[in-house]
This record gives sequence, structure tokens and C-alpha cells, in this order.
Amino acid sequence: MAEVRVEGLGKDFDGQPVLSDISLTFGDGEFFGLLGPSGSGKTTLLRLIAGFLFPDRGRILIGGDPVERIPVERREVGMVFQNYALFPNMSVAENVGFGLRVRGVSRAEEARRVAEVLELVQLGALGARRPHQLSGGQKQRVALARAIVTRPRVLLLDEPLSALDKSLRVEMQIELKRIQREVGITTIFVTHDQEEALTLSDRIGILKGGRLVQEGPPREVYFRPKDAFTAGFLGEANLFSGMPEDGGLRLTDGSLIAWPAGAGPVPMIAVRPENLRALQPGQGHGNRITARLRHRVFAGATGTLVLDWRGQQIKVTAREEDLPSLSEGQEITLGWDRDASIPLGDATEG
Amino acid sequence: MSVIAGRVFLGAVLVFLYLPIAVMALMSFNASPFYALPFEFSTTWYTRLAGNAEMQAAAARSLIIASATALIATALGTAAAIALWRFEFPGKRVLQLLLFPPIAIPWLITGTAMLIFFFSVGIGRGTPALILGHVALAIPYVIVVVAARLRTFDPVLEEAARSLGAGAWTVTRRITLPWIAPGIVAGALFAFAVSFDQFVVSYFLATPGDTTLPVLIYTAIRKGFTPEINAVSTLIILASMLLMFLVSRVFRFGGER
Repeated sequence: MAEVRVEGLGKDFDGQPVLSDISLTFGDGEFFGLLGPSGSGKTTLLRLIAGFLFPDRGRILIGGDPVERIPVERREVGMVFQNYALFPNMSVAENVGFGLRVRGVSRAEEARRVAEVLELVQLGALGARRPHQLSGGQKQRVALARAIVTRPRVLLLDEPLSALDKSLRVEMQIELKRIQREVGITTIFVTHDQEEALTLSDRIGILKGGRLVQEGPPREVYFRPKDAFTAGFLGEANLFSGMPEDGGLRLTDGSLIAWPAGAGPVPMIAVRPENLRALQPGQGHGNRITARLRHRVFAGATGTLVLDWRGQQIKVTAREEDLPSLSEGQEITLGWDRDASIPLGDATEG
Repeated sequence: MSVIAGRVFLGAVLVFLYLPIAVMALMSFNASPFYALPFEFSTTWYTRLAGNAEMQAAAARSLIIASATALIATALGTAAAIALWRFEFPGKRVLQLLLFPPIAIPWLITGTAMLIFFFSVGIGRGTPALILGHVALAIPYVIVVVAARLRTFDPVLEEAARSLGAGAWTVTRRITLPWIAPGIVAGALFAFAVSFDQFVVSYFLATPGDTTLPVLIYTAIRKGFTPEINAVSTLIILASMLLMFLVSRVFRFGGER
């Protein structure tokens, strides 16, 4: 177990930087989620930490030791691949024991540790099976067991749950977190699924265009995104831009949005769809806008109103029964609490 | 209707392919040396073959050369296929293109070129020249067959093995080779067949006294036909068919996994 640190990390492909100036500390025992759209460099960063790639700039330290020139086979990292990458010619136990055999661990010791780790991932009885006889969730557990049995200093997960269907994914998220806590291993995982990142991570890092945009605990990043990209990428966000004044942000329709507590003048604010409420005429206080219904989306427990405000799309999400019944084209007044406004520093959208 | 037509056509093709062979196999059991009918069963020609030291020596030589060819061509061809699959390097495309002409160039021309080359470098004719020549002919087949199998191999498996601490050689031996083993076996059988059935190139490279079985058969026919040739040819065909049956078994086995 160890702390992992990257300093000023950069990588070029064909002379084009795909990763620039990444500095991050992954705390000892921490579950860290790297989140970003495809092409954001998150996978490149993971492969640099793993040792499949060597950086063009910067350093990687595991437990204080510089490792950026050590190839993957000698870096003592565990990795779980997107499609598990189980060895088809070996049984479950042989798959899990592979890393131990390579290290010259005795047969008896190997058998003991394989049994122990299979117990941990709740596959105790399946050691003799072949990978093609396993379900997706079981393969996932084998891949995880294989990656941690050698007691690596860091565990790397590349889109670990993306190949599973939704109900199994939620179950495996809980499992993954339990096993990670039990082993206490520093874990870095890559995902493009924002919900997964928010659920699993102790901290998350948002990457965009090869740069680190923001890092912090999931709540902080979700509720206090630094820019429009992060606000829109982590969940949905309604964006309002205008002219900053002393009292608040003056929108193009003339209405004034009060600054949330502690925020200075910024050119843009975001409001989460779940924080917007439909107001009855005359009701409400604080921030309000009037928008016209485009259509309504039903998603079971919750529903979403998609509205048009001065040519811009606005979304309101709430429990189905809390949404007003409106016909398309009808106008509605929306309001929100002053502190539900998220000030955004950067006016450019990703 | 079209199914019946298809079956008739398939039947016709099979007859066209196998009738001459069947006639030859039948005649190898006919007592008459002149294909005379009625057919009279006899194993005379096989007995005669058993006493033909020259023919047996040639058969043994052919087997040794084919085995050596299979061994060398498979080792080199497999290594080449893995290298071409694993690495990107300048001139790779050209190199891959250069693999195919030896399959397409008429053996007559290849044989002439080899003879001239072997004489100019001092190897001359004989068993070493035969093995070298056959290896050169067989390597492209091995590469093509092994490369086909490699295309079904997921390179992430190598990455997974490396992340578990396995060096390049361990990865190749424990992960890559087991997966492509059916391709390697099939490639070896191909290489064996290319060598064992080889006449044209062998004709150029064999020393007249110690020649290979196909060359000896040709020479024997020129001297005067005997049903002994039918007998030995029938044996060769049986061996070849067994070999190809094995190839197909190995390949299907590989495909199912």
C-alpha cells in the first residue's frame, strides 16, 4: 500500500500532447476516480501510472519511489482491464495464481493465497472453472482477485464495470468498494460514467483535453464545479450567463440573479435541474425566470421538464407527482434558492 | 431443386478429384503389370516394394528432410509471425508483401535460382541443400497460418500478464504460444507436406544417387513403369490424407475454443 503521486506529467503521441502538466496525489488507501469524456487522456494517465507507457515529461512516485522508467512487469501494480482479460487457457485458480507463479512463490503458498483471495471475492468454489464458464460478474471478480493477490502497491481499474449490465453494475460497485476497503489498497480507476465515479470515489479528478480541470471529494466537485464543463459533465446543469453587477448576475431578459453566499461577481452561474421549482403566480422569492415547455420526459420515479428560455434549453427534474401538469407551449415561472446558484469562473463551455 | 443440383455438382467435383487416385490405388492391388483386366487381387507390388532398398532409402530420406524442414520452418516462421504481429517497424509492410511471391513464383524458377545460388556459395547439391531449399519454401506457409491464428488473439492478454509481473519471454511462453498452438501445429504439418510432396525443387537440389521419394518415382517412371509405383503412390496418398485430416482437426479444435 502506498501513496501515489504524479508531478507535472505529460505525454505526447506523434508530437501532439495528449496529457499535459498533470499533478495529483492519490492518498494511501484512497479510492480515486479519474473521470472525463473520451479523448480526455484519462486512460493515458492510467497507462502511464501502470507502466505500459513512459511519460515524456514529469515524474510518477509510488510510496515516494520514482517509478516512471520502470516497466509494468516490475512496477508492482495490479490492473483490472475493461474486458477482464482472463487467460482462456487457464482455470480460475490458475488465472489468479499466475502472478504468484511468475514470482516463484511455492505451490503450497500459491494455493493458500489463491484460496484466500477467492474467498474474499466470494468465488471460493469456482477455482476449477474455465473463464468461458463464468458470468460477467464472476469474471470481474476473478480479474480483481488476480490483480490483488500479489499484494501490489496500487490497484488500477480501467472502466471496470462498463461491460456489465446495469443492475449487475450497481451490485459490483458495492462489492468493489467493500473489497477495496477490506484490502485497503490505493485504487485509481478510470470511467466515463459520472454516476459510477460519484458513487465509488473518495475523491475524483475531472480531465478534459489532456488537462486536469478539477479534483476533490465527489460532493465538492458536484456542488461546486469550477467551470461550465465540469458542471455539465457531472450531472446536468442549466447555465445562465449575463453581466455581473453588485447585487447579482443581470440576465439578458433583465432579471437579476442574486449571488450565492460568499460568491463574487462571475459571468455565469449554473443551476442543477433538481434545484429548479415550478412557481405558482405570485408565489416564491429570489431567483426566477419564465420559460415555455418544449416537452416532458417520463423516467419512472422522476420526471423532467424540458423548457425553452430565450432560445436556450432549461431542464427541471423532480418526482413525477411534484411536476406541474402543463401542455406543450405553455409558459411557467421557475424559481430557485439563492444558494442553489453555482458560480462558474469560466464562461467557455467545453 | 438447387440443393439437388448442388449435390450433383459436388459429387462430380469429388469424382473428378478422386477417381484417378482410386483407379491407381485399385491397380496397385492388381496382379497384372499392364493394367490388364479382369482384376485379380494381389499384394505382389507391395511385397516388391518391401524389398526395394533404393525406394526405401529415398522414402527415409524424404521423411528426414520433411521432418527437419517442418521443425526449422515452424520455429522460424512462428517467430517471424509473432514479430510481425507484435512490433511496428519501418519496412514492415514491404516485408509482409515479400512473403507471398515465394508461394506464387513457379517452383521451376525457384529451383533453378536455388541451384545456382547453392553452387555459388559452395553448398552444392545434397541433403543440406534440400533442407535449406525446403525450409525457404515452407516458411511463408507457416507465417500465413500462424498469423491467421494470431489475429484471433487479444493483445490485452499480454498486457494483463505483464501487469502481473511476467517478462517478455514468460508472456510469450505462457500466454501467447498456448493460444496459437493449433496454428503452429497446422503450420508444421503444412511445412512437412510442402517438403514431402516437393518434386520440382528437389529435382534440382538432390544428388542423383541419394534422391528423395518424389524424384525417385519420377526417374522410375521414365525408366519404365511398374505397378510398384502405384503401390508407393497409394501409400504416400494415404499418408498425405492423414496429414491433412490432422490439419483440419487441429484447426477446427482451435476454432471452437
